[in-house]
Amino acid sequence: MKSLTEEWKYVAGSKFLIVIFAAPLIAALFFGLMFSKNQISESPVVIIDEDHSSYSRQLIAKINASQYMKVTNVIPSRMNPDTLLANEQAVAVIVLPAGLELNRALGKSVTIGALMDNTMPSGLTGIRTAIQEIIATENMALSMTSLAQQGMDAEAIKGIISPLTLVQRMLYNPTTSFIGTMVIGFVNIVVLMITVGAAGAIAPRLRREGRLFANGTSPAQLWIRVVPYALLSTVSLLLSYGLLKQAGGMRFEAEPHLFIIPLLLYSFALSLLAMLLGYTAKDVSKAGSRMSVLLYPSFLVTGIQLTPLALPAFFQVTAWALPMNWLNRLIRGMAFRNGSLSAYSLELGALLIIIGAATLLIGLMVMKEARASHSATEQQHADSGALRII
Amino acid sequence: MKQKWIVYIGIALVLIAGGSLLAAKGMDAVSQAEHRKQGVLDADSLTVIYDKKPGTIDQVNAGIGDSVQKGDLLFKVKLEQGSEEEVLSTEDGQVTRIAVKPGDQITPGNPVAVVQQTRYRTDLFVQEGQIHKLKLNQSVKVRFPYLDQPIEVDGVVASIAAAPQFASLRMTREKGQADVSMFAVRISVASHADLLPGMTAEVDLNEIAD
Repeated sequence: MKSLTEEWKYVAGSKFLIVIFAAPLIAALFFGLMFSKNQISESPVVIIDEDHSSYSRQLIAKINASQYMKVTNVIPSRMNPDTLLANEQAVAVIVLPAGLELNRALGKSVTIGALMDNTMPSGLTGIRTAIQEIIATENMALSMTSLAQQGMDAEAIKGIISPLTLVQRMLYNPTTSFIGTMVIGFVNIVVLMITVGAAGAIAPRLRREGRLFANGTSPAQLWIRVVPYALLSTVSLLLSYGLLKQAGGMRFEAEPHLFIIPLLLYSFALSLLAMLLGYTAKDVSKAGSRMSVLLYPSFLVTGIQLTPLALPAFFQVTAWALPMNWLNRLIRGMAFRNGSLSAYSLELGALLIIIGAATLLIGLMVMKEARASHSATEQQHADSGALRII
Repeated sequence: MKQKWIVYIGIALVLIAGGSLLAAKGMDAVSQAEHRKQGVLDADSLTVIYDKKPGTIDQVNAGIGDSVQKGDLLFKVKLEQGSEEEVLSTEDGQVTRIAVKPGDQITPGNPVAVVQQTRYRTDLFVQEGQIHKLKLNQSVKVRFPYLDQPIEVDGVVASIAAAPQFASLRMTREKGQADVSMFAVRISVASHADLLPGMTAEVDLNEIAD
């Protein structure tokens, strides 16, 4: 009984009392806001209109009016769907074939194509239903009107074949295999955990050993220490993708030697960001716990489990600072959709900005600390000098 | 020492500036493909219809795949009265189908053969902002990008017209592209042994000098 009272008293005075109530509340608020949209509305779609008719225009207007879809572009001539889906500006391409209006007027069957990007399957659920609904409604309207005009009664109309048919193709991951979504996501997260844990601990480790300025006060001396971590992470990622492709049957269309470029940029951005976050930590274990700032958001908002489209704009913007966001976009773009490296300048640029900003901030922090230690040593020298005179 | 600091900060700033430039000015896949206009290769084909008195096919002079000139003999028909009539090709082209064989009875209105014109054409839809690059009778390079061994042939701009229903399309303002007027440009393509109607033809507007 005595020990229980003792422990209650200890808890009453410790941080635990606040944290146990505050942390779940914050989590409830944070995740509540993050998943507040519940369903994806207005997913971007692109339409290839090969018919150029007033009926195709009506159909586009109907697709645009659907709450699940937003038509972001209407392309008047043929274009490879791979090109249109490459940069995640659209999740589906709907093809209205030439002769749509004519065949409809003649009462012939017309096939409308819907090509969907299945690299993030959670983004497509609403769209598939919505397109089906539009086609079904169109068919009903078409057959009911034309048959009613011919004097057929409502009972007879029910048995008539629908003129519009929809053919859906799920691109890039047709079977919604978890290898291309969850598995590669977890592999990336494991590499991220290990890399940031090691790179984040560099500065606290050196400070503890008293070797932070052992090779001079230049920040380049510290910066250069991330090179082994970044290089080894790159090699490790490439090896695990190779294993997933060979053993797990993962789709990987990009040339490995080209994909090294984004992987290197990613690893450097990640290691430098970790070094920046861990720089002011008192010891190695504190630096480790700081890395959750990189880990949890990387897991939640970069499209591993849920497409970023399902998140409110605020969280989508938060993801921009995370190297993992850009790596996942590059994997989906280059490896799954077979996009060429030149189409991903935005992603590569973002990684370069992260590298540059982390480099700059590390430099400023090193400069501050170097000055402080410099003046401290001078003070020490002055003190000892003064003592000697006395 | 100070110089090292300046170099370090300078490199960091260059990285940020370079990254921003790449992110802002870089072209995504759609923008890169925007100047490459694609259309379907098409050919006019003409059905030769028998328009003379009833009779029997006596002789078939053309085979599938034969090139014929306007006025070339396709069939000889023996009329019931004993005299002979000739069925001639009305266009230059290639015979793609023969619907009758010697001994068949034919009456006026029967289709007897299909002659496909040797010149191919493709319709491209070009935006107002790009249309100045194309002039009537201008020669352009036409590519067939999806063939196993891509080929390139010469084409000529045969007509430019406002795409009637498409010209006033106001669908989405997101990209501003659908808002502008579209022009239908017909490119006439010389025949080539490897080409077939239905293939995807492509004209790169960037290759055409202003």
